[in-house]
Amino acid sequence: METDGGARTKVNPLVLARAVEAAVRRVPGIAAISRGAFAETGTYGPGETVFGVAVSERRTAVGLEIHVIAEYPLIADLPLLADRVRRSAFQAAESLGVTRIDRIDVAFDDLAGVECGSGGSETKSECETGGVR
Amino acid sequence: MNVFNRFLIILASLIILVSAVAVLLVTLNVYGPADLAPSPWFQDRLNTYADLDPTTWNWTVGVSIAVIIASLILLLVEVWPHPQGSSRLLLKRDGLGEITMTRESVRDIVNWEAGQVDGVMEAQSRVFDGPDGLRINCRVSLAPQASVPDATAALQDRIKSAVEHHVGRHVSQVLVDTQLAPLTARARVR
Repeated sequence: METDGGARTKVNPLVLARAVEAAVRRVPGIAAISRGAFAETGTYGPGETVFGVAVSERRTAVGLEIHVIAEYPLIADLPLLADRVRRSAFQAAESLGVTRIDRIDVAFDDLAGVECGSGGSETKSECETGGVR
Repeated sequence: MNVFNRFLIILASLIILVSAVAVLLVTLNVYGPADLAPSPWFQDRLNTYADLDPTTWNWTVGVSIAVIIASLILLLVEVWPHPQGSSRLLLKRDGLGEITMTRESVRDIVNWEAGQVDGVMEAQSRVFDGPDGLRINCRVSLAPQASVPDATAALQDRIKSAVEHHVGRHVSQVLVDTQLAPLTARARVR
């Protein structure tokens, strides 16, 4: 992490992405980080990629795009869960000295635990007996 | 279908459309091969259609028109926005950015909630985003002993309530379609 004459703090995007990813994973109600529903999203660096968290650096602030998989049944409605994800991301960024975040987009790409009983690929009775899967 | 596949189909449709139009114009003597062909190679291909015998002329014009119509239809289908709209739903937009979810996840919620209603064996749903809120079409397969009116009412209440609570978006309509036959081709487990 570099400091630019005290005016603003530059952060290694990979370090920030890693910290945000680890923090968001611990948010209750979040099953996992998603790589992205329609295209892979992540922060890329030499020899490493942090999938699911994209850091965009602007002149005076940083933006985050976080892709998650929520647990179903949900423990809170999705907008509230997203606020918790944002708060967690803020705290992770603050711990690295990054205080200027002007945008955090949260994308719920999937729900974990909703497959059984959906009727899309099996019947309710098959779910109850655990048959097909 | 993913974006790359759609792009390929659009590109192929355009190439076929342009080729068919060129062939038609040369066959009808509207333009000569040299007027349309960007290079000698293309000109040689179009020269074939310049002076055709009557039978071949008829076939060429007919097939060209058919190919033009087919490629236009294919192009429109690929380019026209899908009736369901974007694959992501916007849940909230505020000063800090956007909160979105996939349409498929909303469908999963609807199907899961529908599956919890007594008498429902299977559920398949579609979600549309309208100006007045979400519209949900839910097709369910019921057990033979289930009461259709009761199940329908329960489904509408449960789905609307669950989606509004979990997703935070207003649901303007829940249409329920019921049947006794299984929705999937596989035989029911007894």
